[in-house]
Amino acid sequence: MSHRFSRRNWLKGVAGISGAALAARAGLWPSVAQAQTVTERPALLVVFLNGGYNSVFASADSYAGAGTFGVSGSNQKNLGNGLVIDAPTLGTLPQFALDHMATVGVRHGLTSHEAAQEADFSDGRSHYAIQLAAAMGGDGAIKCVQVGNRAVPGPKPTEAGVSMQTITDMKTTVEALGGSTDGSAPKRNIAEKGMAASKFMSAQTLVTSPTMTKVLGEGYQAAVETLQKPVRPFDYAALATAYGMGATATAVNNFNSQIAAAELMITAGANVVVAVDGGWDTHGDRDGSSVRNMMNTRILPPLKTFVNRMMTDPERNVVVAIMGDFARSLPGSDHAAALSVTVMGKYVKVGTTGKMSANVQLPAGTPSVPGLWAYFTKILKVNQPIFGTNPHSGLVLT
Amino acid sequence: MTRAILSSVLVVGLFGCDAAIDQKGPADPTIVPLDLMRRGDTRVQTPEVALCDSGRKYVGFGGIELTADRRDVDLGFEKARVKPFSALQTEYPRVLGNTPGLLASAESTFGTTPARWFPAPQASAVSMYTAFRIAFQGCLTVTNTPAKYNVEATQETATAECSAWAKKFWSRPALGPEIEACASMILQDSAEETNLRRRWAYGCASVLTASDFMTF
Repeated sequence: MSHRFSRRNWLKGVAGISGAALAARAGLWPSVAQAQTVTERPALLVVFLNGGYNSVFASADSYAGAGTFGVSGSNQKNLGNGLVIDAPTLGTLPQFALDHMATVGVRHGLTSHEAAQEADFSDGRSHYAIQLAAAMGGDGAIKCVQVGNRAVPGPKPTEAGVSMQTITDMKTTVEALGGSTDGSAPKRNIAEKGMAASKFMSAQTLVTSPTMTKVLGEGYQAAVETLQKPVRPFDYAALATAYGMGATATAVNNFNSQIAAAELMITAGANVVVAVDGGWDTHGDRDGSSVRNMMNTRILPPLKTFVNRMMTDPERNVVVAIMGDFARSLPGSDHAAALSVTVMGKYVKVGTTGKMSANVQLPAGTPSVPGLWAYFTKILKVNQPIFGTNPHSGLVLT
Repeated sequence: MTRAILSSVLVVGLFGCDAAIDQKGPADPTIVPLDLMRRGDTRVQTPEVALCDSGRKYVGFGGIELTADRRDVDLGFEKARVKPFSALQTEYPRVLGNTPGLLASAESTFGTTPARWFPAPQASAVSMYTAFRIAFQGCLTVTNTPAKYNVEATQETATAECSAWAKKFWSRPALGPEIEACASMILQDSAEETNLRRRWAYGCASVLTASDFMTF
């Protein structure tokens, strides 16, 4: 049981870190995955509503019979092929999204926040978002991103050199990715060597505090790799204008700026971006008015901008997923044991595998979380079936 | 008398654990001490340590070992913590003697802390690069005036300055390979830089962005 001090392991760690630093200094850091061969650049944006995602949005007709969650005959929108969504909210998304939307069922059987949140992103050992970002390859310096300070659930071990990087300010991000016009700033290529030197000098700390300084070690390495990439010019003013932000408002501190940052990072080559929003543990919201209000005032305005700017780009294959811990149960909007995820993307076929029963349950046999990530893999056209076979094959446009 | 008994109890408590001691064997001759390691070497010798399971075990009803799933962590490990921005705000001025201008607008890059909460600080590519930029700006102020930074560095002068910076920034003496990495920044890695004061600043910034400053 005792975690014995092992010189051999310590040596391995120092050797690995020192070797990595030296390799980076020599420009020899290996490519993390094979490059994507398709011409469209794929990317996934996960909008995670911390607390829960009421299935009234993605499976509105489930509640029409009893009129629960405020569903009536007039506030449903039938998109065809069995998919009926909430008209006043998701129903107002741009037509491209409505034409490429599906509801994916996730029957995870979990009703506690901690267990459900972790299960949505992890099997306890690996993090699905990081795994997927690593498998997608590409040339982005930062491949897997958390936008904003709200933490993405689950343990986040590095996968094939890809770690989850947190973006909390767009100005400094643009400077790191696109270079700085400040003449006093360090030269990019020398700064890269400086960061590698700093990492080398940090070897002892990174080895002796591997858990507590994990993000630090990943940050050094990702910074070195970012500085090794050619600069990418960004028009931040245009981005800020599109999302209704001031040109000097660069902090990622609300959902609007999170989605703007998501566009920035996907433009910079990120494969998977996760935006976590809080306040969705909506106990007592029996008529769904609270979640509808939050959806319309906070989530959908920037998401509509994102859909119009990113999803309709013919050179991209951007997928957007809206999910949460679980759906909300009846009658009190408590914790259900399953989840109906909204997915939009170029290769999404309108339909549903996540139609809830009137008492917020999914049919037996509905896949669990890995099935959702296998579906993402399929519609992003990633060749490696890292999460197994896609069980939602009826929701894929070929 | 009482003091003697207490002292004995304390000694037994500290050193008298009865678990097996995992004494390390003789050093591998191919391994060299870290402080003799050259940059590029990956062979390191760690101090010999004797370890034993500390902490008392408890057997519950039914003979179940209640501490069976307890995770022991060895002494000296996992001590470092990434400094939050609130600490960096005063740490940069403390060790540099000046306040880099970039520091004032950097809080959101390092992650804002909600009132009444203390989340573990996160580090990322962007925050680490920003840390390097802040360090470089502060180091430029450090190297801006003294005449010694307006002359080309030699191995001796670079080594001396790197050692001094490490001691000041890290509160510990630097090891040979660490000094060598810093000196290399000044002597070789920044060779394309024509401004001598900036070359010194690159070395200074690399020391100031290392974990011994970024953690506590």
